[in-house]
Amino acid sequence: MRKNDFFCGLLTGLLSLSLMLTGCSSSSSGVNGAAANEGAGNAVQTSENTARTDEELNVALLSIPITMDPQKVSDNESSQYLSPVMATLFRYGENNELEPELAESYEVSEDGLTYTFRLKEGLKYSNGSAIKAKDFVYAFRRIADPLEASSAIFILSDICEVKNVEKVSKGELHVEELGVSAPDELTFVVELEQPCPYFLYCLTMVPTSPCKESFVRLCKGHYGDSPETMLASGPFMVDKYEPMGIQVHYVKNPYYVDADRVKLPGVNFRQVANVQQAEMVYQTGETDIIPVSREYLGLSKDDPNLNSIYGGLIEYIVGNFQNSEAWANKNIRQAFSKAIDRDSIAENFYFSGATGLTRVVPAQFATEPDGSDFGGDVHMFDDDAGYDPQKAAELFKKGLQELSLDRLTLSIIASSNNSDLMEIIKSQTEENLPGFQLDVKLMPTAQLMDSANKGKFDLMIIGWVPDYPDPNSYLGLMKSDSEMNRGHFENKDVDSALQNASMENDPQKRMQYLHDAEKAVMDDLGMVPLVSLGGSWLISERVKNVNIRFDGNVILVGFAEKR
Amino acid sequence: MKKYMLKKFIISIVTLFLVVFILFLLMELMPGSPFNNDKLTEDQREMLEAAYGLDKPVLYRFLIYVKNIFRGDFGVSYNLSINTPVSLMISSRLPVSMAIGLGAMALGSVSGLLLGFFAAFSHAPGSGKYGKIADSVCMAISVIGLSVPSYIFAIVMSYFCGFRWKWLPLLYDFRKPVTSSLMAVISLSIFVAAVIARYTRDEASAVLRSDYVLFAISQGLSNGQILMKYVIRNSLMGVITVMTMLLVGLLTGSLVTERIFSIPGIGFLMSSAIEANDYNVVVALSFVFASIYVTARLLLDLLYGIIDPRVRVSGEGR
Repeated sequence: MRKNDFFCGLLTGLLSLSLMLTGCSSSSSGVNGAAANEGAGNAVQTSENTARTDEELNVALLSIPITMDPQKVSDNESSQYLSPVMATLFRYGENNELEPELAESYEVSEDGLTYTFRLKEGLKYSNGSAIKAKDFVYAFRRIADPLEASSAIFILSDICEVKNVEKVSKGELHVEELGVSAPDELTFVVELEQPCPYFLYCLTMVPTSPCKESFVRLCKGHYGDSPETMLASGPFMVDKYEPMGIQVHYVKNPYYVDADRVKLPGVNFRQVANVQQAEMVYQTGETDIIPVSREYLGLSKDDPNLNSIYGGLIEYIVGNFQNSEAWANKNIRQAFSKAIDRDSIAENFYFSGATGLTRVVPAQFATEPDGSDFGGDVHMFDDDAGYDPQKAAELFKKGLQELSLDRLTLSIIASSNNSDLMEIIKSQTEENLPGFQLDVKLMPTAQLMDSANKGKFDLMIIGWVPDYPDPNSYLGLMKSDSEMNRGHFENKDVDSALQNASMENDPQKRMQYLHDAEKAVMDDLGMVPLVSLGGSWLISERVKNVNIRFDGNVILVGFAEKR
Repeated sequence: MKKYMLKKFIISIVTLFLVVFILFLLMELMPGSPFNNDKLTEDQREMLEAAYGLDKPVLYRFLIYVKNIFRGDFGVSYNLSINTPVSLMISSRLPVSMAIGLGAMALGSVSGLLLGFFAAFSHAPGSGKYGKIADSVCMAISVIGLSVPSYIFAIVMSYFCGFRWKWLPLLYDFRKPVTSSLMAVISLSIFVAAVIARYTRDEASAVLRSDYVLFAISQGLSNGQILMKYVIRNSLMGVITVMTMLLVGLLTGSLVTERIFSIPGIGFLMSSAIEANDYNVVVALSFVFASIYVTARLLLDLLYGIIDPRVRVSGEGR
């Protein structure tokens, strides 16, 4: 009988404990939330956090940030989460034109190598301390510092080359040797290794936002880990964030330079597991903005709230020029490209928002100085790469003869979620090229990157999101010394045209060099372009003034309003 | 008794050690590098590998890792949330999973026990035709609860209660933690209720058929008195074992249900970590799961040992 008493007691205890804990945990998360609010609120003495959920902007996203340390951001997801918090020298305006944010004015030296920026006066962080020119110097040094191992280094080394960045990032020179300086509190100077006509676009990127050295030191290696270890310079500041948490909550930053233009009391970014879930929370009104992916574009295409940006991503196939003898044969490359019916892929596989691509720079992406569309003539290179099954078969036969082969098998590596697309390409190329076999190898992203880095592939499919709205963002991929030139394509004409473009001060002449570079890539089939895509978002009619960044992947909500 | 406890304790420690070792080896054999950001240069990649000690031999890294585990240091995340201590990631998410797990356990236990006792009384000797029908209905409900996975309930509820009728928020929201985790709690509790109902019914009906209860009935005790005096006390022994293991399962989060409601728990963390090749997070989480299981098992074994001398004796005999 005593045993039974013991069990009864245990059970009753267990049940009541579990009931208590459930109650506690709900209220305790409430307490934590309040504490976090209080922390951020203390810093700025504001009580904005009482704002009601439905006055705030609710955004569903498919991923969470991998870091909230602004100088370490190299992915769109983290950029999205940091964009409300971080102000930069320049920002994208309503039509994605550049406009100054923290910069008052700037000058470029005649040789195009030195940029001098004058900051606006009275700039402040969310804790009320002043934003000074030396904070930009520190931010740039953090990006280049080998001890920080920032993956944002490509901004200073690949997109534009800041003076001494290579040696600094390898630890051969001290970070203080990096070509950035602050002669006084409001002047920030950047020196480049070679002219970079699109350098101002780099200064819209989150890693180039100002960073206060004393604050970072105070955080002792935890900079960006929690709302307390973040310092905002943008329209909002983080008031709730945990690493790997699926929700980030922001409140208005009263010290932001354009605080009077910020209308929302708060913003809530949250992760959803998939597009169906996004669609559901959008329809119930729980969320105001959701990204729309390929599978749902067809359903939403007549929705007046659908906002799309084109030209913000291209998908293309590269072959391994180093390891694959067959791919080094131009006839084979051209045959492969001409065997693919891109328009049908774009229409049937991507539904809407995608167009077949037979050139490197897609339409509606970059404008020329006279206002025309750089990639507007979508059929310019159809002769080189466009769909023509008959010509493809002829070229393939010729290529095989040159290689003294009867049949040819190439393998293509792709990410597992590209399986449908791979099936289409396999069937099209095998049908149109007699004697050709395409082995599709699907693998998880990590393994794919590993194979790509080690050059273990014949062909691979790549999606590329541009970093800035200039043709060079796509064409630079084909430069022989680019890290992103996975297939090790080498063409002197391409290299010299791109080099000339970077040295040219006259915008019109520069564009001509870029056109030359694109022609050289396509004449030699350095890549097999497939489709160009963009980004699409459903934005509720209650919300106004949300900007979609030029590549379609990031929404800018700083000046958004909600009715 | 001491020998029995010591033996169980050593077995548990060895099990945990083996778990860590196997996990470590599996991670080692997985293709790809944790540093798969294509914007990193080759130099940076090498520097990162050196910084995280990945260039050292496997055995050396394993020993360092075990040493660190004892200090509560599971390393840092490589790519889910760069440089964040894994222990911090787990400690921020574990309470959410635990709260929902305990909620589901509480709801499931209460409804399961009620259903089970009701069924047992319904099919007790002399309960008549209607009793048999009531018992069948109860057991049919429990069969459905056992055979339909909880995520199916989650999806159905999320569609009707969240999407169609808009009674409850579709997704977890820290601004309203109770209402937004209600659907998850209910869908996870159904399986618990079903299991507990079945066990309770079997245990309780065995008690109801025992001589002393039949004697009590013949003495004219009411159903309520029998329930309180004999049935609950005697039938809970078996039920409690099941409940402990169910509780452990619930505490460690649910991979699918957490995804359906976007709950920031450790189940969701686990699946994200596997997708992202984040070695440290996967190993640490598996270790946490394994420790919870092993500890629960150990506690149960020790409890048995205290309560039931036969267990202790057979343990010592071997």
